[in-house]
Amino acid sequence: MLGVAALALAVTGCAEATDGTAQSPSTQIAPTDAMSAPATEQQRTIELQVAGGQVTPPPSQVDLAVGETLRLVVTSDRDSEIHAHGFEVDAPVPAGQPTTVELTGTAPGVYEVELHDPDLLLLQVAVR
Amino acid sequence: MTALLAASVLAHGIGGRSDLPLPFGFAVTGAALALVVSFLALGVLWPSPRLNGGRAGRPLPGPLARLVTSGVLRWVLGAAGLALATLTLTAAFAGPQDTRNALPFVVYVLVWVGIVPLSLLLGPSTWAWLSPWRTVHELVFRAARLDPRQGVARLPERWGWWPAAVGLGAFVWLELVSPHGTDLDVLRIVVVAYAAVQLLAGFLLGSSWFARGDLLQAWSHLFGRMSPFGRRDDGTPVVRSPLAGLDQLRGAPGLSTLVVVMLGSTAYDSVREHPAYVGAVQAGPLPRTVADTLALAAVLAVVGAAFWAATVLAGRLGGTGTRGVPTAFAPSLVPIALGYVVAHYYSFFVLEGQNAVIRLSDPLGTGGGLSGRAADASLAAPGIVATVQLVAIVTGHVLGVVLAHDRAVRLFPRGRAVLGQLPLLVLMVGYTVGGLLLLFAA
Repeated sequence: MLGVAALALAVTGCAEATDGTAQSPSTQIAPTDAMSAPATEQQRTIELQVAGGQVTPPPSQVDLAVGETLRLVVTSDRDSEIHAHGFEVDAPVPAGQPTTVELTGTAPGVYEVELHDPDLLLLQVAVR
Repeated sequence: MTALLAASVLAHGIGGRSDLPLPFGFAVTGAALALVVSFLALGVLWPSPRLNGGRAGRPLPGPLARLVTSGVLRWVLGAAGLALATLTLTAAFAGPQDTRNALPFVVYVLVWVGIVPLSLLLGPSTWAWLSPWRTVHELVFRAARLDPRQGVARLPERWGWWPAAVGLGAFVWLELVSPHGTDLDVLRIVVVAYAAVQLLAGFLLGSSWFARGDLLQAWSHLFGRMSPFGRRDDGTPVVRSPLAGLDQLRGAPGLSTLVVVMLGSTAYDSVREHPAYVGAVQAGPLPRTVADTLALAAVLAVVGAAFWAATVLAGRLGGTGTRGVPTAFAPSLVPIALGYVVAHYYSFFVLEGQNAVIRLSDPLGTGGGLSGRAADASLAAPGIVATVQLVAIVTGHVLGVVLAHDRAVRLFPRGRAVLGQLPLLVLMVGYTVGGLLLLFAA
């Protein structure tokens, strides 16, 4: 998993990591604060609510072009953690606080975005 | 990297990436090819049996044949297996206790998936030669001047392939259902316990146990029968057609179940990744592991029931009765299972196989070897993956249909053979179109 993500970063050489936890040696050119990120014309936002172990809207597969950025705003009723496979995104989600992460498509494939504790699939991102 | 990340990544296994859905055009092309080939098979294929598995093939030239008959190849692979086992156990117990550990990658990538292409290359005995427990077993018996084939008891003949089928079911549960399948603590115990059980059973029942009781040997053996290399019934090493080896396979109890588990577990893996399925489980009342276990059982039941119904109907229409018919046709599902496996694991093997080698090159996590290197993704580009998937599924279907046809004309009286193989063709078209649909909807 990590290897694949590192590979994704290495392949494009200009990947973004939104939370600074990425251990990849590649250059990070992205701002770490999502709110101050310059809005690009390609950027989309998806809002997700997690309450009582249920995700709203329910999990689906979302397409993302290579180089495009998807912004997720996640609000959970419990303290948890969001993890986006293949994007090297791993961030705490404090209860009740809308948490924003950005996912930028690098290597083609389908990746799962999950919440941990409770373990829930939020959505799948199909990078094309 | 935070410990939190390590834990969360491990909890979700290797990969984290799956293939893009098969493009619609590819899925339709595959389904159409499967249909056309199936009905062509009814009309144009030979009217009397032509496969002659046990005697087929062209003998290997002398030096190559001696490589097999002298045991050189067996002991070269045996030594390689022992070396890999030593390296893996070193990593498992003394290596870094995080995602840099090689153990899950060796188990799920190099051994489980890697044994398939290796067996296709080297033949049905590949895992029998490579298996570290079998090599240890043989060395111990030889040191004690005993015949490795003789145990203190005999495996009852009626058990057939059942031990391997049950083992395979347990393994795919660990791989695809268990949330702890890649936890190092769990996997260490599984690997050591499995080796201990295999050795113990080998000592008790003799080396014939491994053919029927080691799920890895059964997995390797059935796919290895499609290798161009094999041995005739009289032991002559030959190069032969991919269907000759499967035709040579003798029916035994549990063979159909084993093949159904091979096919059904791969189908389940596509189902469980579908967001609609995950959404339904998350919204439902059952814990994830329970729901996934039931879903795996349900997919196996559907695949198995379809197989059973088609073969029983084939026996009725063919006029031979139903006895022994499922077992007789079970080998014709092996090419279809191979198509599923290739389509399913190709990109996983290409990417994670590199990650496995990178980890094995630095088993203790000291930063040496290839560590820090990233896998090359060029062979997992979407166009290549989709093409491999289509070719694998359709080729598996064609080979399965041809083998089933040959079986039908041997088994059923002339005049009823065409009718008798109809249910099998429908079954295979169903499996193939179902497999394509799962890849398309993934």
